[in-house]
Amino acid sequence: MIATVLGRNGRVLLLILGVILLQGPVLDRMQVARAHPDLFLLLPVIAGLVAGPGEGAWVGFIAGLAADVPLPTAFGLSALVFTLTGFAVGSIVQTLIEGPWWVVPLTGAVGTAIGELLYVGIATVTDQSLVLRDPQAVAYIVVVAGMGNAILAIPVAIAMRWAVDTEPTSPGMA
Amino acid sequence: MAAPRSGQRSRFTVMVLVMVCLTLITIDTKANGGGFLMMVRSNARDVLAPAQSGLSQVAQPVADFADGLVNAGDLKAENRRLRDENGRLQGEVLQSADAQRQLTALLDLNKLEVVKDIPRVAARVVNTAPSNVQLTVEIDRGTDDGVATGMPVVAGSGLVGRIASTSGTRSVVRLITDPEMNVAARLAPSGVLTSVKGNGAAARLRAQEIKPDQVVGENEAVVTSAIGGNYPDSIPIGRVVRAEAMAGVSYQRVEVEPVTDFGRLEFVSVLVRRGPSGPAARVAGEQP
Repeated sequence: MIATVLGRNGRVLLLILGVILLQGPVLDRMQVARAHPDLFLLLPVIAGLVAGPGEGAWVGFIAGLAADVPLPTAFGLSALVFTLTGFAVGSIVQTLIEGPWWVVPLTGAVGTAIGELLYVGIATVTDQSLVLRDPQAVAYIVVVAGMGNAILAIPVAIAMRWAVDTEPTSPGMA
Repeated sequence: MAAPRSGQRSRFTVMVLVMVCLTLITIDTKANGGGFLMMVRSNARDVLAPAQSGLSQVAQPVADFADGLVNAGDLKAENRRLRDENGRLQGEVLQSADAQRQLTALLDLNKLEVVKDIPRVAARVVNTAPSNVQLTVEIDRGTDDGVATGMPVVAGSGLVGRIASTSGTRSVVRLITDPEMNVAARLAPSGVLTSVKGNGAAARLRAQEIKPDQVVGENEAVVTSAIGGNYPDSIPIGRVVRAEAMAGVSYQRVEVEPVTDFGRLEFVSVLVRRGPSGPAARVAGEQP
C-alpha cells in the first residue's frame, strides 16, 4: 500500500531519510576503535548490486548530498564519491550471474572499501584538509567499516529491493 | 548482461552526475565557507536537528546495547584498567596532602590561567562524523548561542578541538586527533615549547620540534600554550608516553596520549573568546 502510494523515487527517498535519522544517533555510536558502519556509503553499493549501475549512481548521488549536509568538507564531495561507487559496483556485479548468498555481504564490504578509498583519494585531489589521509588509519577504517557494512548489507539489500522494486534475481538475492 | 543501450544510458547518467558534483564542489570551495550552498546546508542541518535529537533519545538504549556488544572486549579491558587504577589511587590518597602542597606550589610557580574564568557555552555531542575519514563531532550549539568558527572546545578532562563550521543551532568540532590539527603547546612543568599534531583517531598525538638535548619525562603533562593567541594557556592535552631521540634526526619523537576519551564524548564546552584576529582566527601553524 505505502509502496504503491510513494512510487519508486519516493521509496528510495524514504530509505535515504531513514538512513539520515539512523546513522548519527545509532550507527555512529557503534564504534570499533573509532570506526563505524557507514550506511550512507552502503546504500549506493547495494543499489548498484540489486538494480544496476545507473540506479547505483543515482542513489549514490542523493545519499551523498544527504551525507554532505553535516560534513565540513566541500558540498558534493560525498555525492561524487558515492555516485562513482554505486556505478562501479553496479558495473562490476553485472558481470556476475546469480551467485551464492554471501555475494551481498562481500559486495557490501568490497564496495565500502572502494568508497572509503575513493573518498580519501578525491579529497586529496580536491585539497579537502578535513579528511584523514594517514595510510595506516585509512587502512584500519577500510577494514572496520567494510566488516560493519558487510553485516548490514543483507537487511539493506532487502530494503533497497523494496525501494527500487526489483525481482530477487540480482547476485546473491535469488 | 545488460543491454548495450542500458549501459550507455548508465554511463551518460554517471557522467552528468559527476559533472554536477564537480560543479557543486567548485562553487562551495570558491565560496570559502559562505554562499548559497552553505546557507542551504545550514538550514537543512537545523531542520533535521530536532528529529535527530528526538531519535537519539529514543534510540539511546538500543545504541548502548549495540555499543556494549561491539565493544565488550574494550569494556572488559577498561574494567581491568579501572580496577588497577583504583588500587593505585588508594595508595596515592595517602600522599595527597603532600601532592596538594606540590600542586599549589606548581600553580604559583607557573601562574597557570584557569579556563573556568573564560565565558563558555555548554553543549551536548549529538553526532560523530557520518564519514569515517573525518575526525569531527557535531554539537547542539551554533551561532544562535554565540558559537563561531575557530573557538576552542574542551571537555572536563582537557582539550577536544576547535569549531570547524557552524549553523544556527549546530556546530562541527574538528578533533585534535585530526592529522591536520596543530596546537601550540608546552610541556609541564619543564616549560618546553612544542606543537601537538594529531595522528589519526586510533593513534597517539605527536609533540613536535623538541630537540634531542631537551629533557622530556615520561608522564610529563602536555598543556596548551597561549602563544599565537588561539588557545587559552594551560588546558590539558595529554601525557607523554614515549620520548625517543634518534641518531641523525633533529627532533625527538615524542608520543602523547590524549587525556580526552574521544570515543565517549558526551558534553563539551565551547570557549567563547576572540583571538587577536577574531573568532575565525586560524590555529597557529594549522593548515586551512
